[in-house]
Amino acid sequence: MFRSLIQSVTVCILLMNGSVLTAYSQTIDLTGYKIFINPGHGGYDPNDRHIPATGFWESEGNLVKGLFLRELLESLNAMVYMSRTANTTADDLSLSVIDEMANAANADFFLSIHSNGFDGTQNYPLLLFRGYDNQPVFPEAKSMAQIMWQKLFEKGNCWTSSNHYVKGDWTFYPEWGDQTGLGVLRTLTMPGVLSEGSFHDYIPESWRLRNDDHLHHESWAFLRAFIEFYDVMPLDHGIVAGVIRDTLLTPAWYFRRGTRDEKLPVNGTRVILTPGNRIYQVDDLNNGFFFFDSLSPGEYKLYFDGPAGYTKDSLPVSVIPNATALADIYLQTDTTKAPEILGIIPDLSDSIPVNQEFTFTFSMPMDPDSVQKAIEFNPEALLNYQWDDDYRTLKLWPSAGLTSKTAYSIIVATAACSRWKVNIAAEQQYSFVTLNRSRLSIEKTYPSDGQTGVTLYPQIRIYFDAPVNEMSASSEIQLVNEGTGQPLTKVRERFIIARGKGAYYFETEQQLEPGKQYTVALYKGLTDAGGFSPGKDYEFSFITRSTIYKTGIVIEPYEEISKFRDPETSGSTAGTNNELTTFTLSSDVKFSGSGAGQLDYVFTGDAGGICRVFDTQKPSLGNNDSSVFGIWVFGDLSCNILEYWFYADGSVNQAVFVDEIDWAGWDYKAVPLNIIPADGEILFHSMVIRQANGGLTGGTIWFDDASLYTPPEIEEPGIEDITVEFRPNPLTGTGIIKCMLPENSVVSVRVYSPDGRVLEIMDNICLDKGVREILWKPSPALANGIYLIDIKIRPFTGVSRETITRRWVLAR
Amino acid sequence: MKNVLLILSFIACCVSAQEIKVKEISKFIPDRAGEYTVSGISPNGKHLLVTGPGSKGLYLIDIKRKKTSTITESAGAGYEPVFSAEGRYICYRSDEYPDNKRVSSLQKVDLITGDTRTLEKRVRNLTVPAVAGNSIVYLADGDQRIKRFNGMIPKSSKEETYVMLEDLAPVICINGIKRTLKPGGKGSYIWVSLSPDKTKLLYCLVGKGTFVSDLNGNVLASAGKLNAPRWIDNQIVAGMVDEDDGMKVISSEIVAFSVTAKKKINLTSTVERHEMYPYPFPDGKRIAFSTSDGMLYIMKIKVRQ
Repeated sequence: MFRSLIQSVTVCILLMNGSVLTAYSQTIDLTGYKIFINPGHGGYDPNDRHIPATGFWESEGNLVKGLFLRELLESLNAMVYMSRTANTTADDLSLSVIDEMANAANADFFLSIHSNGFDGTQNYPLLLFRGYDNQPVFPEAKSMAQIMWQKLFEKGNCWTSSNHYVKGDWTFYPEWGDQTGLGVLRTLTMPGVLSEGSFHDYIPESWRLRNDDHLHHESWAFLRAFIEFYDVMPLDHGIVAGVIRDTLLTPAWYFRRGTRDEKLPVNGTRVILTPGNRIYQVDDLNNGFFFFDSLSPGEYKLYFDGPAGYTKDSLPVSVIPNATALADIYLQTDTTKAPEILGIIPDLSDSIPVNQEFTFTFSMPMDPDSVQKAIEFNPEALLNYQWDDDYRTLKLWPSAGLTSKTAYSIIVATAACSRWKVNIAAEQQYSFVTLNRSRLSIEKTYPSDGQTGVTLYPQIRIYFDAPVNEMSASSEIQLVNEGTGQPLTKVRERFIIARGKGAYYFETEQQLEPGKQYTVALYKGLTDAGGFSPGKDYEFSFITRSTIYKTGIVIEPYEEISKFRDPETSGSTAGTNNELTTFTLSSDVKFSGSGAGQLDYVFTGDAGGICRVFDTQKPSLGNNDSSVFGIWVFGDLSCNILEYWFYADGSVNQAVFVDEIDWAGWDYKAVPLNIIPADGEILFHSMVIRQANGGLTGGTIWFDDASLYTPPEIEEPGIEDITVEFRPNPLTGTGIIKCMLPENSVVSVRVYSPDGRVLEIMDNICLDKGVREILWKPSPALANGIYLIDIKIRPFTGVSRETITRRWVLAR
Repeated sequence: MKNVLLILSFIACCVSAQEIKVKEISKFIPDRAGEYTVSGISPNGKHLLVTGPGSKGLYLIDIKRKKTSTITESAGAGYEPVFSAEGRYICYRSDEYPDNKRVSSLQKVDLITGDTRTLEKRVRNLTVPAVAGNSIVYLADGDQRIKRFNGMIPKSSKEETYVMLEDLAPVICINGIKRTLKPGGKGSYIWVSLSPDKTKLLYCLVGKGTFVSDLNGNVLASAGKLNAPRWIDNQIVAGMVDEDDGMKVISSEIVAFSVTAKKKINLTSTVERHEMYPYPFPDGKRIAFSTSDGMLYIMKIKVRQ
């Protein structure tokens, strides 16, 4: 823990011969300085930032840092004011009140303490001062921001970027308006900075931020910055800090490849520092962090006594004054122990499907070949295997399904051994019975039965519980136009086999007709590889969109792929497997011309991935409020989020939600330009796939013929359009969705978070024609931010469906 | 076009108010473009005193001619400058940062001659001045000092009543006797001022809200959230109800509060603009304010007697 600070005084510099060189202006401490500390946010209120995955609240972290900094500053005799010392709603002060407190206190410096959040993939310090990057309102604030950034950066080694993020708030937030910037710096009469010390939504850092000593470490960095800024004598003691990690294991949460966060922190280690025998007990909050402060300079040794299964270790460390010695260590697993099977999924006491996937979890990394050879199914089954990166988890599934209604056993022989060639102690045996399977089942289709508004260029998809016989699928599955009764010619048939299951995809030679019903018929001659049929004819129907497409002038034909950057080099791409994530020219799948852009993507985690393709040509879209920009997109039914990114008013990036990728085949996905806040020219620059919770972790999507459509001033006289307004925007209380409906209609409203999670569903609201209002009262639990409102309107009497998506800013 | 609509919507939404009526709101564009906040209004109501970002600089704008004169470009000069009662003098604090260390000076400007006189030079801890009759009162490194604007003797003893903040607590001086007055008990007090007739204290108690008390500390009215409040007359104050998301201001409206009726009335109601920091004119018939993007506005009001 922090110890009292003892400073010695040096007022002059002596030459070796004893003569005085110069008077030394450095002061002994901070006597006479008034520092105002603002721990940002407060009160667990909607404008607080919470990370459910780790339990972190920004208001708590900021307060712990602020209170400890006050203690440190007061130990150097500074006078400290704080905007809050508790964490209740009453402590969540208006920014204008915080500023006025600092002004009225006549503070010398103002520090607003925060942590940052963006897309969960980044972690670095960001220091903001008022003004433009090179034109600060207070030059002293920029000077301090630079010092503070350096001190924060030096005290850690888990950053995802070493860029010197010291920015003027007017430059950093141009979308808020020229010279608007951060509210908390806005009316200060003294130099002030806002520190975003690290990123609380980057999960490895979020776990570290749960550790008070990690937070205190940031306070020490702030103190060092004040010492340098005010030319106070440096501290004559130092800090030792570090993170204990497993040598082999990787975390289950997202981490940036190539950083120290690739390895799993070890909980519960006892760390002893000698000389002095100071002890630090590492917590169980998945950070592995340890910390010793107020150490006299010199040589020390750290001893690490980890939890069971790890060997003890030690590390020498040199303490230097007024700085942190970082001493990370990777604990070794005790490799002489016999590995154990910790569990098997599913529970084998119940009967299981013939295509069941089995998951084995081992106590340590295994030798995969030995394990695969040691696993035997009886009756015999051909198996597929997939290991996790650590070789601790094995998934296996039968290639062609097991025999139905049959007793099976799985034997894991003692030949299965760890990476260090230590065998499991005893043979393991498991028994189960398969469920009765007597027919081929259809698990899912696209389009779904009864779906309306389907694209005129769908890729029909039928998912089965087993791989289908290809010849039977080609002959026994048809797509029929209900109006003509005629089957359509199928093209690009595909037969998919995955995890013991099967799927059949096809497209049609011709565009479907708008507003028509189509039926996919599966006849009973259809069979799977084992000869099972559905048992009877099966069909499902859908209705195509009611109108033809309005696509306008093509501004990007996707014929020249060199214009585009690969996702890896497009910037903003994160959480993807770079080798498997590529943007190439497709000559097979294309909407028109000789090619289309094909994006193959694979996300490495379950959430937070972003895959961006940057168009270096940045085609101009002008700025006509009535124009609509769209791209032909071949969807992959991944349920991830499609975004288009634009530059507005120069280089202000505007990310626009387009749609959830819940379609397969070509569809024209358009957004009106009037949802982009811009006064000047708008440039299109990127297609982006944002990984959604529950979305597939990979897929392939094609892009073709980006176009700009500007409707004529008088269009289709006599036809009333549906209009929708959202009021107020920003929304502070209850919002009103005002619809002008030309016909009696069924309206469905969905509210999405920016990362694509469905937050609220109001389905099948029947409304008479005319101007109608739907109220949305946001849950108090919703944080302020931008939400996507998706409205689907379907007239009672028609089959057409309008989908309208808008952004709604919640600002309570 | 947008500005016209803004004005119309203001008028339309405020005509039903009982205590105070908004007659007109107009954008005020001085001859010199800039991002301004209102720092003061001359006693005759003919000039706006405005400042730039960070309270840097102090500019006098002739309202009728929209002509801007620079008083100073100094840092900090725009924070609570004061006019002398007859409007001839302006007194302001200015800041410098040699070796990052803040030092402040107190300047007096004669608007007739243009002369500037330094009353205090490079003081480490200098409060902004409070006006007490024909004098200004302030603390320089903890020492109270009183300087006259000119050689005139104060008219009456009542003019010696003033309030100033010391370590975030209101200190009232009546007839030369100072006392700390905390009507709401412990806490940080900001935005303190006396009513024009010097019988009531207006203050914001941080975390609790804005209140009006008598000079004995008896709370007369609670305005709830009403930031940057200032007196329109002896019974009505104007302030702002600003909302933020912890990072930036997301809305702000000008609101009037009647001490007698204990009622708040919105004087603006716009989504697009964030109206902030109202500054009533001495005659109580107009309010100047700025928006979050630094534009200036003047609102004409009518207060029912």
